[in-house]
Amino acid sequence: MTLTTRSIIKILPFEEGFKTDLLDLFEQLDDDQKLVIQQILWDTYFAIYKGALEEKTQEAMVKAGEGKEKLDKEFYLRVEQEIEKEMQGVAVKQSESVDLGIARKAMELIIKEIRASKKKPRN
Amino acid sequence: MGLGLKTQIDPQEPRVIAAQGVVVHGSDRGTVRAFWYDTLQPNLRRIVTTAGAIMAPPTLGGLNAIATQSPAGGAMAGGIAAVVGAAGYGVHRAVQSFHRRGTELSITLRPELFTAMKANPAEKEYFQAMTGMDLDSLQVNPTTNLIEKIPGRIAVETTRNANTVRDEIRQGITALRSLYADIGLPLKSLESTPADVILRNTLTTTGFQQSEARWEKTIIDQFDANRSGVRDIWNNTADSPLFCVGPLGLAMPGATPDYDNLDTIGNLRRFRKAEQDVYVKKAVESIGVLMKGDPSRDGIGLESVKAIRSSIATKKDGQETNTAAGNRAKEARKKIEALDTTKTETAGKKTPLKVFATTQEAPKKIERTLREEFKLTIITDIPTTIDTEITRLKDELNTAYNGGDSLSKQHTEARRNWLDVYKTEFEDVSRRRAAALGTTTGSVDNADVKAIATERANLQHPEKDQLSKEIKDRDDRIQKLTELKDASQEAIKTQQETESATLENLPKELSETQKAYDDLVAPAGGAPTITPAELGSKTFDELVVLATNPPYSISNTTPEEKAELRKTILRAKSEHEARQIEIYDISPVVQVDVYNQIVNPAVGGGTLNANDLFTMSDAQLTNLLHNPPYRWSTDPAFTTSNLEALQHAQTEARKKLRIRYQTSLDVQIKDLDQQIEVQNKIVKSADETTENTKGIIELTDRLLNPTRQGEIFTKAVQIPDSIATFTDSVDIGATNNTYSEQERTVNAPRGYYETLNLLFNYQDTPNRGAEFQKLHKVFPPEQLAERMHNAFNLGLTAPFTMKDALDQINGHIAVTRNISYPQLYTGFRDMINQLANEVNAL
Repeated sequence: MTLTTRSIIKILPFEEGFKTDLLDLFEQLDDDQKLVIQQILWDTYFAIYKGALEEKTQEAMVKAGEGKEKLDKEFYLRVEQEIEKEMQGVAVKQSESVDLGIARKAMELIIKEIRASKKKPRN
Repeated sequence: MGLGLKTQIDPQEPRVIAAQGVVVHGSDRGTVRAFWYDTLQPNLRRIVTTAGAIMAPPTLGGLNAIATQSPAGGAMAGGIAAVVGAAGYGVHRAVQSFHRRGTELSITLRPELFTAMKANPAEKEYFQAMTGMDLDSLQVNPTTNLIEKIPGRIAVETTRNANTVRDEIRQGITALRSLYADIGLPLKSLESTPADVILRNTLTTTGFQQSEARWEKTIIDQFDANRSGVRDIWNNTADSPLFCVGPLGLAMPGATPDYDNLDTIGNLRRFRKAEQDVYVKKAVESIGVLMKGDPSRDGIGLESVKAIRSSIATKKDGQETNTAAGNRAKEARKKIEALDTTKTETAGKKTPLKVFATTQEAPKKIERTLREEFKLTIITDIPTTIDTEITRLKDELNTAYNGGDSLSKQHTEARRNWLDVYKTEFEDVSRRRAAALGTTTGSVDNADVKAIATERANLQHPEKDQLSKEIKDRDDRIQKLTELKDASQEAIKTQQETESATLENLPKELSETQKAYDDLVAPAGGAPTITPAELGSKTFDELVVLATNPPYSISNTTPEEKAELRKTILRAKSEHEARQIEIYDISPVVQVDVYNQIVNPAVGGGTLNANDLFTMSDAQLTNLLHNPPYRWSTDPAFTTSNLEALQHAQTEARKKLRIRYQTSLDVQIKDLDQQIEVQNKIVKSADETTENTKGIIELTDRLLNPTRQGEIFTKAVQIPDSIATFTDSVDIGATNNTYSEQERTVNAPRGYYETLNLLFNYQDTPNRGAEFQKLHKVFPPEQLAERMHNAFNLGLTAPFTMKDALDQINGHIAVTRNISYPQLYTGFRDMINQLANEVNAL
């Protein structure tokens, strides 16, 4: 999945409600707000990414100490690839959940309108 | 990396005891961080076997062996693991200490860990070997539960040789570094922490960038409270008596803990999660506040971003006045306007002088005529000189000539003699002619006879014609002299009429110009460094330099002092110019003589000066001249001649003052011209800067558009997918038609165009070539290379080219992996934010 500001919002482990609000409202913010929020989002994403990378590296080193991981030239590359997959997996998982959230919300609105129209008296 | 180049921890360096640990000072941030990461929080926990043992550098084949090698003491591994396990906060707490203090290593020890390490001789020795700290000099205060120095106890910092410790540390680090390189770990990226991504952002808020201590505390609290802190493999927490002893129900409380039972991986994961929670929580708080648009809370500096963007927008709209360069140009133009006004006023003061100068032409012409044609010297004034000459000529004509009779008398005599001869010859020639013709004398052609008689009379008396000529010559001269006198008197009248206008404005500062001149060319303080010629040839600024040094040492610091020095120099210059003019503008001798007699002490004068001659009345002056040192005669017979002499002196005084006034105006105008030139140069330079900054302001404004920026970040992290293109350092070629003409003309490495396109997406615009030109003007290859070097920390040595930068980036991405997705994002982010700050400062 291509990494964009919107996809980052979906990936980051925010509360669902917050995430939905942010996705809905982001484009309506003024440019200054968008600029700052955008950089905060990307900063947070990559801070978490780097932390995950370090954690995975340390874990792998510990496992290597236990003989459960191979220490060779590709060691770090494997760690990176694992993180990529995990973040992607999270991205997809989060994205699906958020997309559903938006869809659900939209659906709720439509249903509300339909119900409202049915209640109107007919002439 | 600095690895092995200097001691990571100098055992001799000072150490202090912090409340919960020790603080060790290192030499620089990177090496201290590397030391902690490499040595005290080893990824291979058994990297140090026993305290003091030197580990051999690992080979690829031996890596696993090292990894599984048992330490000499089981507790060592456990102790290290304990450090690693606790680490979660030990590491990050220590790491966070680096950010602000830079070179301190704060090793945090939980009291129970400290106690455990202190009780274990191997652990204690290891710790002392690494840090030089003697744990026996510390204790846990039973009341506060904080680690403190034992009162009165002198710490035995180390009994080991400092160089040995240093070497072991160095070798250990070298081994680790070598290992990391072998397993593809990006060594450079080890120097930065996850929090650095956030903390190094110069654009976002200080509110979001918490202080280091707050980050640490927040993360630790999160770890302990929400992630249960450190646990063992049986899920016991650190405060449990069964911690690392055994599972509940099976273990004996009070038994010795085995730290090999730490749930190291679990602890690491929990700690990371705690850290992540903190980042996310803070992001949510900040974003929430930003979305609500409440800028007052927690210093979330939306205002700083607004201020920067507003500043840039203002500069974009009104660059002539809203940038530093624009303001400089504006100030300079104001000064030019003021200087021009002063110059016009000053030049206006010359008008009466110019008019007066034109009135001097006529007398000068008359003087020249008298000198050249009449060989006369003007002693007093022109009319007197002419009168004297006319009298002389008339005397010659009518009284006496060369000691004899007057020319008239001589001529009369000569004429009489001539007539006598003429008469005689006429009669004789007439008679002979008549006889020859056989007629009477009355019928002879008289014209012919007259001619012959005249000729013969002339031969006998040539003096008659000579004298006639002399007389006519003198008559002509008298005529001409009379005309010249009339013209002179007319000119004098005109001069007198125009002189009053010049006299009104005379500054009466002859003595001041004289003093300024003398102060510089004949100073009291020592041999002068300014000659009269240099007063004329050197510029104002050059003379300021000389005047502020010995022997003058005139102070030139305050505005008043600067103004005074300026006056002094301009007066001195004015005096010099005046003296040059006087060399050629010669006054009548008597005028000069009388003037000097009055003002020049060397010839008997001295108490009066030119200003006095100009300002005092005739009566005042006459009175003074009757007294010492002048002692002019009071005899009434000399009254008229005295008055005439005084008038000559006054005329000379007025002339001198007028010349100095003229030169002072000229010098001022020249000085104003030079000041205007200086300001014009400032305007030109400032305008050039403004012209150059227009581009960078406009382009930075584009980059601060959130949509544009989002696209940049997205493309940045996709670079590894097209690394060959993005970092292609080969020139595109002057004939490569996939590029516009303007792009081909520059013929830079392909990566240069790719970078510009990533930033500005110019290749998709309709006017691709023109757009490129605009970008190239602001970001030529070398400049872009420098920005990329700084943003990505490429580690190149100047001078370097775009090709070098691209090759280096390629190496960092493809080989060392020092630049990966986070660095690609932060690199472009920092490049943009840096531009914003630079443009804001314009």
